[in-house]
Amino acid sequence: MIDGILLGLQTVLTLQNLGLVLAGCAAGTFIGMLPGLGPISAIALMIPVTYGFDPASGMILLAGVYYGAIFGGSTSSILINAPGVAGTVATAFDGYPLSQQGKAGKALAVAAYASFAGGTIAAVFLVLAAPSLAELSLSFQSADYFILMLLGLALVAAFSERGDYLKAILMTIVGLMLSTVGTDLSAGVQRFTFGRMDLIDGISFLLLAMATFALAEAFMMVLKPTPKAETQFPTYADLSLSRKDVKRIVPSIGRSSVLGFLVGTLPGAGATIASFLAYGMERNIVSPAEREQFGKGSLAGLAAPEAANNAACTGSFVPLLTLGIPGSGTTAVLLGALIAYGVQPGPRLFIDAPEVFWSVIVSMYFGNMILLVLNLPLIPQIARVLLLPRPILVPLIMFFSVMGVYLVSFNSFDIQLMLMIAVAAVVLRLLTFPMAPLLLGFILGGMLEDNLRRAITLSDGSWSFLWDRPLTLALVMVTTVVIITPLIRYILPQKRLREAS
Amino acid sequence: MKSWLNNLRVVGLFFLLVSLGYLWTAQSIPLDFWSEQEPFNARSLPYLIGTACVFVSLLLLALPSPSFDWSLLRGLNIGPAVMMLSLLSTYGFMIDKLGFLFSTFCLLAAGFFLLGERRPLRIISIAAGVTGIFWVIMDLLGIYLNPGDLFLDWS
Repeated sequence: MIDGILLGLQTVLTLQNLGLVLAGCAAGTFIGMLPGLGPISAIALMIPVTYGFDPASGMILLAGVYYGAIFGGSTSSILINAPGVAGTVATAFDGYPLSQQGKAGKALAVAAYASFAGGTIAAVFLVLAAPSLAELSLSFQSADYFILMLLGLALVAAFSERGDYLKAILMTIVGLMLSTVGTDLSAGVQRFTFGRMDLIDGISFLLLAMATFALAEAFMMVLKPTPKAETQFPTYADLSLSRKDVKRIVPSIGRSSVLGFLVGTLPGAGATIASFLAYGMERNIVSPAEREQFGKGSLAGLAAPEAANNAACTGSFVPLLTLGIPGSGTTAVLLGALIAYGVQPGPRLFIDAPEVFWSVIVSMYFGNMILLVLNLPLIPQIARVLLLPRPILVPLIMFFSVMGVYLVSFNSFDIQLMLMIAVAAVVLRLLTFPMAPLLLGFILGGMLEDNLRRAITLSDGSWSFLWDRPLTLALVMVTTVVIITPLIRYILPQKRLREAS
Repeated sequence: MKSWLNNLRVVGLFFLLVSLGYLWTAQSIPLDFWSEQEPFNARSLPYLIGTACVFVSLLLLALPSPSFDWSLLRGLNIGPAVMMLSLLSTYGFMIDKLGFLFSTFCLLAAGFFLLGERRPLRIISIAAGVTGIFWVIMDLLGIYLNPGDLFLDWS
């Protein structure tokens, strides 16, 4: 493990890679601060930039973007009560009241320190957990992977709100359907290309991510213009914390970081769920006097979701790095980027490309440090992006989204396809259907098919691989419970509702 | 009828039709003699996914669900959004013909104007600045951007 950390340090501590962490954090903060644009859009927009780099450098940049985007989201939550990211909605509960009381500097500092501490604690857990989990997962076979991927997809739907379960399942299936467009690599036949040469290679994941997130968000900004941000920011020159403040937030940060990391490692539950759980847990644990302050500007209420969302971001790398299975939309995009670099994540990554594995882990830590040391003092400058008028900002986001896709293929058909998908995504969003499960289904589709084909071929066409080995059987049972339970919970109240009426 | 047709059922109905079309198209995926004998071939996963989609769409249609407030969609700024969409689509068709520099400048300038920016100096300077800086960065990175078939034909 020490060797691994040293290898990671060696990779990260080059002038180029340090520069990339820095650039990634700054770009991520910048994009994440824009209301609506979250880490998925930020990463998708930055992927084309990384194609010239080696996989380790590319991932270092993207890890920086991920953390930066979350940090940027917190900043807009605190300053203007407009969370740029779903994971920082809970930050606004106490962050915005603090900023209204003229304590925006203190709120930003608490958010930054809590994020840093959450990231640090989670990074330690990741270093301890990932290698052993990667070794354990080497014993997994195709059948286990197939079931694990199904489990990952089912969990994303299971963790959505109760009424949204079927919507998330449907979107996952639509993502799987889109993944079958193109040439089937095992037989070399074309599927669903309708005779179009442009579709022979299938739909690129970058195109889909850009169309369903960055471009769709830009169109949403045109369709539903939000009230103009206040042109006068609260003053926040004072970023210092008193000893009493520190004493108040330290226990919250500790508890929330552990909770955040654990929630983050679960496929499907990401930073958003972690931050809400941490906020709820803190409110129940703190003294009655402090509880009174929740929602009115409590420091503990701000520190808890901030520590948890950062810890969950780190935690979400555990299934990605060890199993090659992304647990969230954001890690799905990172997985797509890794595959585009020619790196297959999973237990073999740890053995075949240890420099990528360890440099991602080490760079995440550096990303956290850079956010604290450099971004916090620079926030007043970066926050000016919030003042950029919409008529200028929206066409720029659209241009960068379109260019990001065009520069990869130089095929103008991709621009038209992207626009069609973006229109469909906007309509589905307006009808309250979530997009992240679609992306996850799309990215897992190919791997799901490979593993299912291998498992069925190995068992001579029989489905008995599902119950032949105890490990697979256990996974099948867990997956069945995860799929069926929310479905029953979804159907039952509705049935009662109908009977009552 | 109106209250029955909520957002879930509209999308459910749409994807029911899509999945039926998907299954129908999956039948015509070409398979050679050997692939047809295999237990898992290029049609297998599409059949599984298509069937799952039909099932979930039917659930969305059949299960009772809360009515959707369609008036929420009434206040949307559809005009500018459609204009931006047409602009981007035109850009997609023109970028190869008119070249990166000219078409990007037009896209950005027209986009700023469509969404409400009215100061000509601001429109021109930002559009030209972003186009120029982007082109220089791409040039430095060694990425070739087509100057345009029309211009190439002239020269």
